[in-house]
Amino acid sequence: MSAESFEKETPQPVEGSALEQAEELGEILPAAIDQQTRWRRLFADERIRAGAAAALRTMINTGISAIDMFPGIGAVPSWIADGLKWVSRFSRKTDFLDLTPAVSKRVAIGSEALEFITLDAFPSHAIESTLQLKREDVPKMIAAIKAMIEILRGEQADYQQNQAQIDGAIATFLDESPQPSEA
Amino acid sequence: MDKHSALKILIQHTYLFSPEVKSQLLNKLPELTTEEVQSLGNLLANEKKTALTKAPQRLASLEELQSQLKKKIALD
Repeated sequence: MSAESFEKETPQPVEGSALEQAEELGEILPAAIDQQTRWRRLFADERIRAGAAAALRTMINTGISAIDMFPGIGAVPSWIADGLKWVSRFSRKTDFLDLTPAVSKRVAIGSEALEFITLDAFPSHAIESTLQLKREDVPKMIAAIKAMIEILRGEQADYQQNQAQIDGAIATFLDESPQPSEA
Repeated sequence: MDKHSALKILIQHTYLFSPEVKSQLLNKLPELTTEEVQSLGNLLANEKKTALTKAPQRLASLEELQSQLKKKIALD
């Protein structure tokens, strides 16, 4: 390919597009950073961290229970979950491997018996998942939501107490008249 | 309101930073250049405005979710 034809076939950057892209990124990035920082601040709260872990565990348990509905290969993730339950007891560092910490080993293994009786048709992991959800995960998720509500209400209360100051400061940078929120 | 005072208010009332970070930023405030003040001020002002505007909607969603989860526990 000659230099001339290469130049013709290669798309040439439109004048100003790099600048436009940079400007666009400049608008998007601060918003993305804001959200990340806000989430990091929320995750500093122990209750919110525990609630997020409970929500994640619920999703994994729901997935395993769904797969467990298929006889045969579907039971494998359920057995793995039970195996991890035993492994997790060896050390505090492996606690997170237990997907149903609020359910005893006896119940976890006992529920597998139903799989044998029903020729693998019964999704035994659903029993452990439901118990885990009711005993530990839903209360933890409720506590996390409560903590998030407290933080949001705290921010609103702080705004209401210092509304004139905060509106003035926002307007100084955003170059607009103070806009009181609906808070 | 001058920009340094405005930035000081935004740092004091932001929920993005921990109290330690806020304190460090407030101590560094006199050393910040005009560009740094403008940049940080824009970021915090935009964030505060968005947070306050969206707060009622976020609170309503969280309260709805909380009530659904409570119902789930009550039903079980």
